[in-house]
Amino acid sequence: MKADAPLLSIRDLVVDFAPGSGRLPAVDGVSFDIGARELVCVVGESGSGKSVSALAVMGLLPETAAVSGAISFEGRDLRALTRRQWRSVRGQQIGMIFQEPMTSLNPVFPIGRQLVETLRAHERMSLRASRDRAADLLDQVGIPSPRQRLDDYPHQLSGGMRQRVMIAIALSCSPRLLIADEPTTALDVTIQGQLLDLLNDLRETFATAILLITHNMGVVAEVADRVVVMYSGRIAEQADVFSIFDAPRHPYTEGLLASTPDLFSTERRLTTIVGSMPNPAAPPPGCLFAPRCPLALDMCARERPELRSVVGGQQSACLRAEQMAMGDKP
Amino acid sequence: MIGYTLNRLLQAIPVLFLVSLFAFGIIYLIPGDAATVIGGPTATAADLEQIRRNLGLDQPFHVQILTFYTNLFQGDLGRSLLLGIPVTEALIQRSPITVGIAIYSLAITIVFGLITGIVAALNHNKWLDQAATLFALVGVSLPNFWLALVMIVIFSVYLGWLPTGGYVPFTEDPVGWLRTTTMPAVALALLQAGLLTRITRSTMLEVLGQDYIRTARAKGLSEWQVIGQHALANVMMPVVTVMGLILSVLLSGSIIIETIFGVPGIGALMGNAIMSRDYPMVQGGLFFITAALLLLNIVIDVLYTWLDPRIRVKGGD
Amino acid sequence: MAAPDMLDTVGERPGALARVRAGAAPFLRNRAFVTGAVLFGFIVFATAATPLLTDAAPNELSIRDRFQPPSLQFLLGTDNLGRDMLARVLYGARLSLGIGLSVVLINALLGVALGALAGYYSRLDDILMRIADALMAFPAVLLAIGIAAALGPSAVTAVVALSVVYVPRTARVVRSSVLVVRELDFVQAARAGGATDLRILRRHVLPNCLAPLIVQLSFVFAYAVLSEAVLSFLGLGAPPTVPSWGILISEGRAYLREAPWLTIVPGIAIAITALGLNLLGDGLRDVLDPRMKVEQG
Repeated sequence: MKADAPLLSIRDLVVDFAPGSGRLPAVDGVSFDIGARELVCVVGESGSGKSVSALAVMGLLPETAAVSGAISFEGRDLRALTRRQWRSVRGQQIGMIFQEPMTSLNPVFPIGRQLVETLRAHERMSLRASRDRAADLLDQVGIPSPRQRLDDYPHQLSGGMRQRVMIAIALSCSPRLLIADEPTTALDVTIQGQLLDLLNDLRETFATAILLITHNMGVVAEVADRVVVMYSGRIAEQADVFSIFDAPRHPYTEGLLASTPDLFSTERRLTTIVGSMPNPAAPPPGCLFAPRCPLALDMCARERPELRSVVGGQQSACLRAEQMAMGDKP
Repeated sequence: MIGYTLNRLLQAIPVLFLVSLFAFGIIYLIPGDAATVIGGPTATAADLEQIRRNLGLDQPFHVQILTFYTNLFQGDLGRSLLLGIPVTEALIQRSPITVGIAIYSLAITIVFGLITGIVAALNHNKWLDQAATLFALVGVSLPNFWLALVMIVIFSVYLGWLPTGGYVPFTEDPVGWLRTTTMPAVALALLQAGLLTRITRSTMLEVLGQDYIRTARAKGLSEWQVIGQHALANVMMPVVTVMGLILSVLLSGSIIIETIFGVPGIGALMGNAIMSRDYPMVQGGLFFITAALLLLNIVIDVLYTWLDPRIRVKGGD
Repeated sequence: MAAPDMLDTVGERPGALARVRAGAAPFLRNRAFVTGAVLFGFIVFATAATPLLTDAAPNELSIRDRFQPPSLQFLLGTDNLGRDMLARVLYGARLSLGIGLSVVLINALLGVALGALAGYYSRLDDILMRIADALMAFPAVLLAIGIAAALGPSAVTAVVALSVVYVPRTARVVRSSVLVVRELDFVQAARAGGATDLRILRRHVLPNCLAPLIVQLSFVFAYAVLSEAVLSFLGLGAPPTVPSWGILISEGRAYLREAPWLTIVPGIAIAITALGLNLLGDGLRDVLDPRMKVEQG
């Protein structure tokens, strides 16, 4: 039983930044698992609660946020950790990289120092050994002449290089899980592809699971094992990557696919989902996606559907999930 | 780096020229006959003549200004009417005392201002923050000479812990030096500590919201490393830039504070010169202190560029 | 029969009142502004209403009542000549605040004029700012002391000395907002439309510099009250027959042992005034954030 337990398990996670205000929580009842060495993509528009969920896993939400639900990592309840215990999880067992490579590194310290301090925070090692290790890591993330680069400051590196440094820092203690929050969004398209390939390679080298947050279905298609689609703080659909692309069971997923330039063909399908996400202060009474949904029926405006299994491991929070497979496409 | 320093020094020359011109011009602000004002009501005609000759007031204006600058370039700021010795000599003699107290006061300012500012920022909007903010505001709103007098009432008159004034050189008796300089240093530090608290607090609040602080936490660093190293290193930058202002307030405050505590530094020298209408001393002191501050500001700017890798280390792609 | 009239006025009033209320709301929500307004308002009220608050005259001697500590009869005690400290502090406020206000007015006039000239005419900018740099290179209080020492002690001296010190600083504040405002579209449009420089400055540029100016002036007021005390304390302010707060402290200093209240009371008056003005300045800055102002303009 223990052996089959997932690496990370999130159950009924609710994050509310303004509890008691009646506003829709930023994350509202999210549950999903990540297995060892698995790469799970969480997809959604900005404001869908995907980054907030990631920060909740890292315990990095502001103190003012009301959090409920369970987050367990290797069977350990993360929400019960003391400050000290958190420090041995962060950076050592779970690494994290962020969206903004230009501001995520401390501008006044050399990058070598920022790597070394992470290593030495978690392992007893000499300064010399940690610098050797840091140079190795920079080499592994594809930074040329790594030893000379140790004394460089962040401003001397390009955005792509800085993000490689961030990856090196996040992986420095060989964590079992790497959380990457839109790691390529701020970068050039060509560099995006290189970094994605790098992440995929390192996943093998470091035998780590990856939770990749993105809004780009092209990225999902390239690397994901499994996909969690989020909308307005809730999970709309979750399934393995093939089911998501071949037979989406939620009109929102379908809309995301339609609005993504196809990675594998030159033809661009430029349909977009009309409208915007519901105002958290005045959410619609029924399905949160109903106002934008091409398939919405009267009942969708009355009843807010829960996530349920549709076929195989595929889960959807759409009342019409079954019909979608029958060719009833928008 | 050297280029930058030279550049800053060159830029200071016109400012220094104007500063010297203002210092020179002060004597022409005296209403009526300067010699009569300086000599006072008891001066005889011969006395007045002597004063005019000493100050060069009997010469035409262009000769006066030419003499002033010729002397200035030789480091000669004139002769004190009160002490009968060259102004430069008096200033240099008294400098170490004022510099010693200034360093002491600056140390109190930095330690106190940084700590209160950081504590306030870490407890943003809690009572500690509000208390520190209030302290900082009260600090910049109190006249420092009044605080000096209140401290004398409390610590000298009632408690009898410290002498009401006087000065003991550090080299003769370090404890005596501390006993005589602590009240002046604290009185001088109060205002600047308030200033520094405000700046530290707002900078720290800004830094704490930066992405690299979140990164530092995500790496599993201890709170000490996150705040004391990652945040503090970035807070120090803007704090260094206000050092010039702090030193300026500190030096002008020393006139009144040294006078009150009877500390024989540059401040008391100036205070006496003002009260006894020793204009060469006032002019010389004004120029000397301002020139020293200009130089210190350049040192601080250079230090700043050296501290900030974004300026110090050029490069990147 | 008066009812319709009343209704009319009542019907109009809420409009004006509501507008004032809506405009005042952000200020009233700002704690620094409200506290500052209360503190400074208290001092201004006490200064204006002095004859209502005390019967005593500031220079009335009463040898019998020398060195009375604060009591019900003498709320703030008496000095070495038996003069009532409450009256002296209250009448002293007139001079201290008067000098402060004069400095503020001169700053408003000269600071705006010089700042606008420097900001609007780049040829003048260089010269004016060089002079301002040199004046600002002097430590503020030191320069004021130097000038006052030359001019000789009087209230006018204090005003002149403090104005020389603070006008360059105010001019700089005005100049930097003029530099921003003058590039804005509506100013460019006015210029293209053939409006004269003076008209552009008066109608478009200056109103947009008002927010930073008001903030700056409230700080100048606080500094002026504090610096005036320093000048008076050194014997460079008003002559001793008129008790300004600085002079009161200076006089009290001789009796620090037997009558500390003579020193402490006027200092607290200065502190309340300066604190109130600093808080007002902080609050005004929060509410009238110059950057936001420019964006709206």
